[in-house]
Amino acid sequence: MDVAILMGTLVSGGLAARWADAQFLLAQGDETLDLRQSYERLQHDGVFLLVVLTMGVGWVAAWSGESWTRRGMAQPGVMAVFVGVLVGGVMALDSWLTSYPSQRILISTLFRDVLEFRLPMAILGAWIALRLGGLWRPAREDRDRVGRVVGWGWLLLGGLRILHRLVFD
Amino acid sequence: MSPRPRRPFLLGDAMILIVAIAVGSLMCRAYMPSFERSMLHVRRASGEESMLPWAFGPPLCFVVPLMIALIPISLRSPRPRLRVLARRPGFVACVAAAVSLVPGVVVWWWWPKPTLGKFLRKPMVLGGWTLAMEMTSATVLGAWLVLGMGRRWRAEAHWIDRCGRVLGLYCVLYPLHRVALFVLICLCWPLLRCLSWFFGLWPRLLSWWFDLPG
Repeated sequence: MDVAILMGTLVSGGLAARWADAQFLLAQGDETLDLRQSYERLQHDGVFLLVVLTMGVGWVAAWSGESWTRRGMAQPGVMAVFVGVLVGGVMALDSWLTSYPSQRILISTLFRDVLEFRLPMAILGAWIALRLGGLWRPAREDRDRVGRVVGWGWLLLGGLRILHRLVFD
Repeated sequence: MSPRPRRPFLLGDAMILIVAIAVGSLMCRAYMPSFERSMLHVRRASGEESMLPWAFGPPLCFVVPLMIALIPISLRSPRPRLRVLARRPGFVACVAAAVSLVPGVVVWWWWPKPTLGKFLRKPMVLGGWTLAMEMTSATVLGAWLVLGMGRRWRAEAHWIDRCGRVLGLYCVLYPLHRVALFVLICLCWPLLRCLSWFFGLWPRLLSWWFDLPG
């Protein structure tokens, strides 16, 4: 069951990324993409892919009773998706509440900044707390493995965002 | 087994905290001019004075250096093992705050460096500091979720851990206060409706808390 949901999540993530890519290209028009636009395209599509993957793996992890035990909470992948869902949800709600009503239509723009900057830091904070407390216990289970990949994906996306500031701003 | 001796507040702790306050004052001095300019813009757009940016903007210039100062204070002897220390929410919040500043330091390191005086006058201080504040809150929140969800929240009744917890809570409240208020408003909806009928308070309350345009 878990494997089926994870596979479904991967497929949905791929579809979401394709849709996001089409939206990005539509917004850019017919112009050929320069280096900056290609870089932003990667970031733009990556956010959508990771949001779907985080929610899918978070669902699988929440469904499993073992995730809610102390041992489950020491698995970095499971913790990464839980923190991702909770912090991402709170931050997204906060940005929606603080934005002007006219901005709320552009949900992707609204949430992208929040997710690209803050979510990687929340996952980094969670993993540092696990490491410092000697609680880092990766498990040989699909949900933890995929969760770790999702966590690293978010960290990579955060790194890309910082690199964007250095290179292009 | 005799309990571990508690470390009192020592002269060395006071010296570390004074250095942190000095750094905070420097940051606040650089931050205030651009912050006041941005407040003028907000006032012009909304037509109202909002207290919230004042509550969460300038004080954080002192909160983050104080949190970083609490790390060496926590590590001074006598202290428990690092693993025990790493389950204390105060210490974890301080470490998370220090880590959250790394991206900002990296960006600043690569930036073309003017002298310190010129750097502090640049408008980028406001943007950079706002970004750091947002990152700090997310990092502390993530670290505390690990302790809370894993049932490993071992708070200690000691001034160092208490200070860390209070400062960490302040950082976490920065993104959470609006969400908490939103939930509270949803829960107290009937009561607030009655109040709005009687006093016409509702629109003013909303515009004050959420900085909505007038």
